[in-house]
Amino acid sequence: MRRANDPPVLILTSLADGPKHGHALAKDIERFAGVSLGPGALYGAISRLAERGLIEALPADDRRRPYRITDAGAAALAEAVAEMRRLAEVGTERLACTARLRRRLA
Amino acid sequence: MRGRSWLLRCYPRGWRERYGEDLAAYLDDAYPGRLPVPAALSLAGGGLAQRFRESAGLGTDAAAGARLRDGVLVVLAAWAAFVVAGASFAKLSEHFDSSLSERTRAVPDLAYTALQAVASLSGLAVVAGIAFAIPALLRLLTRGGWNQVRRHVLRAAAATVPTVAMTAGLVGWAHQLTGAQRNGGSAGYSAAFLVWAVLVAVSVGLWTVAAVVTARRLSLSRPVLLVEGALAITVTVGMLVMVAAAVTWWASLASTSPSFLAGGVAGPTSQWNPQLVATVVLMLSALTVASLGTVRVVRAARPLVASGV
Repeated sequence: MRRANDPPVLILTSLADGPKHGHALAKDIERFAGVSLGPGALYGAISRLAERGLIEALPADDRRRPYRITDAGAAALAEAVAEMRRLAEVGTERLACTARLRRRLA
Repeated sequence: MRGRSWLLRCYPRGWRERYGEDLAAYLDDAYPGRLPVPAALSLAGGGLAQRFRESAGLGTDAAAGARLRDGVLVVLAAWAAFVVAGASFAKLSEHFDSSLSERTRAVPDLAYTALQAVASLSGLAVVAGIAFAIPALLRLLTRGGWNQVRRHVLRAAAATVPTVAMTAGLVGWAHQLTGAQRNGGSAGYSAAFLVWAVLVAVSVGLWTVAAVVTARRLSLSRPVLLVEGALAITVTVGMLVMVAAAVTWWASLASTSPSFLAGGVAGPTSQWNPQLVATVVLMLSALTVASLGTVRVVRAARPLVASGV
């Protein structure tokens, strides 16, 4: 999980505020990240996250199976968010340097 | 709709068994009309990627986890049959050392002690396997899973009640009988013992079915699955050692004290006690089934181990 728009990061982020089934997950991700995941990408990521114990399936409600983030999933998401925050801080700092340099050169 | 089911077939069977229904429901929700081409391509690509991952043993996958769990449950079912055979063996071998001299006692004693020790260790492995699954069991029960397993658990509990009651009655009766009466001298006691043995076997069988039905609904993490697999392998190895010890015990008794095997009456076929033959055949059958389950566990564990715990 490296980038903010990686399907696993998006799914963990969506599940961080409560269990959701596939359709609710896709709609939530589209709303907060503007990313539309195809069914193959969505369920590929769901199955990999479940196998790694980062999310777990709850008993099916009709045919729809809600998923929920596990403690391990929350820890993995926290790690990914911290990594992205560090990257954002470095990027922000370097952009500020670039802006200062440009001002000096101008 | 037909095109959707065809696209779902791009995914491996094990994956479809776990996610197929949910994915089909998602497609109905997200694309109530005709499935757009990008979504169809996403499905086809996802299915083929999943097949590639499984065939290459890459990453972790649901099918491997499901296969590993099935293998563990096959070993558990074989262990239940082995327990029944073990109880029969324990009854057959009661007081065997009193029929042996100091000189001839060493080998059967050693085999019997080894069998008892390995039976205890294997039993502990089964208990440990159950203990590792308890958190997942509690999660299942707290999320409404009881309704899915209730019928099987209640059926097993219903069979256990008369078994426990009859055990208490039989123990009380046995204390009033002589050793000879307990070992075939009393027709009534023998008949009651047979009924009790059938009840025990039925109870063990029903609890095993309940355990299998419940375990198939548990959501087990990869590390827990791998631990369960390792315990299943341990139990199978234990069963192998116990069969070897039982056969060694049988062979040494057959050569040194065949009359014991025939219930005190020596004859040309004393060593082929029918109950002992049936017991060892049941042990061997259970071992064979457990070995098949273990092969499944080992094959399924490879991709899980390769992707790291």
